Amino acid sequence: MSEQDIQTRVMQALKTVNDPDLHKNIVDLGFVKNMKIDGGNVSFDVELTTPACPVKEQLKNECQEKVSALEGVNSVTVNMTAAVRATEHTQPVLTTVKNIIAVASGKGGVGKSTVTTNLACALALTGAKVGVMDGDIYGPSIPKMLGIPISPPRGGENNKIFPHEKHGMKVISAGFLTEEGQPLMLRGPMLGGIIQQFLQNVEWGELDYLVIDLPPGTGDVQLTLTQRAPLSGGVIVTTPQDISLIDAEKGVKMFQQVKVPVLGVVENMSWFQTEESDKKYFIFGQGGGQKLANQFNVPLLGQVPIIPKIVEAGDSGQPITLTDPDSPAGLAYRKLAEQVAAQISINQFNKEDKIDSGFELAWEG
Amino acid sequence: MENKEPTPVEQRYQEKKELRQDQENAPAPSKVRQIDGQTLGITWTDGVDSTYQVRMLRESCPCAHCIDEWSGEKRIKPGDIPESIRPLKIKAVGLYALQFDWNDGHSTGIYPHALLRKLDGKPPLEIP
Repeated sequence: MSEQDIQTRVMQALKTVNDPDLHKNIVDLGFVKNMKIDGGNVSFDVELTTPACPVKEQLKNECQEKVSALEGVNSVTVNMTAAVRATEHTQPVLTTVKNIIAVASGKGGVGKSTVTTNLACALALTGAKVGVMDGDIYGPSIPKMLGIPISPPRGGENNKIFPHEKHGMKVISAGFLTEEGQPLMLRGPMLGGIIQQFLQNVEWGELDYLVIDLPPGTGDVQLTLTQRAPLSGGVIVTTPQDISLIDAEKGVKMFQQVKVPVLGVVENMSWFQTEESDKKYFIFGQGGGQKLANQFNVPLLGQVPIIPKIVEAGDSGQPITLTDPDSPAGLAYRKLAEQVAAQISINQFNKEDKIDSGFELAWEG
Repeated sequence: MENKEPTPVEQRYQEKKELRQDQENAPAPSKVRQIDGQTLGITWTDGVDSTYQVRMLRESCPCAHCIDEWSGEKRIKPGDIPESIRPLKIKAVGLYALQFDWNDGHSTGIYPHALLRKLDGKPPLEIP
């Protein structure tokens, strides 16, 4: 059999491998690249839309099995790669950032900053280039949670600001703008100004994902961001209890009103668990996150248990996803990152109507 | 029970509620264009073509300067908007609205897509 014949057969076999999220085969999706046939030895790349793909191993195994089974094939090397696609937009800000994820909650104290920090770390663990923007101007907690000492960010020409770097991620926070422990006392319009600076003046460089920690509620910062930043989607954090759900609902509705796609719901503090045992204590009740997700017909992206290590990790600036990725919380965050990345990819493929968010028309006459 | 006319506050509340519900599923503009000196055209993602007299749009400004947030009372009186009113620039606000810079210096009105859909077919203002 000629190498040409083998290649044709391999491509035919790969056409039966479907991406379960995008509902298309990997050949038509354009994922198969660099096919090399050397006698009976076949090698090729499968380029996914995110390194955090939740079905990476599954796809790799399926490719391996289906191609190995072909006549004339002796060995198969499947190389899984990823090129993160950008959410298309025409707004003149954050042009080097491919996808922007806003983490919101209606209510304070549900662990939004902890989720943001660990979601960002989990995305970075997969090899993605990640940035974190702390949008909580009055109560910035990201510097502490990532263990970044308070110091002003380096400035450059044209009012450029260089973000701090930690754990391989770029980080900006209003916490860096004041002395440690000092409150930032500002009226509403100034908040918009700071966010505008974060959007326009920060030198993020190339990023696959920028994760934004929103302050609680539905105020100035949320509005400025939804009006000026080309958000790929919003994630809503809630705890399982009803009182938290009431406000989380408002968070979802806020995104709906401004037409930012809701990627899904994260249920935090889903249960308590000790290190010694697998027994789960549902201290805040059960099923709240699922209920919210069902109500708005969006996915429940993940459930994160509360374990003592999360608190220690947050306070010491060493997020649990990095220090203990196989702990129940570390696992939950890694799964969450996969689900978030998958939802963004799904939205990019399904988006039929492109809304031109950078549209401007000058009237004549 | 006596059937009372809704007060302006109640009316405004009801209008806001309807607009909020519409906004969630509102189609988006796929094309916004100037048809002539006084007419704006919007083609929507659901294929609908709308035309608007720009003076009517200025008069329908939903901002807090133009509609009292508490009473729902319209602060623009008939004849307030001159015939010479024109937009200078129209731009997108995020993924959900359009904003107009007008030649009378006004620019605080943000028109959500659902509002623009609702204003489709509203008759042009009488010339004062």
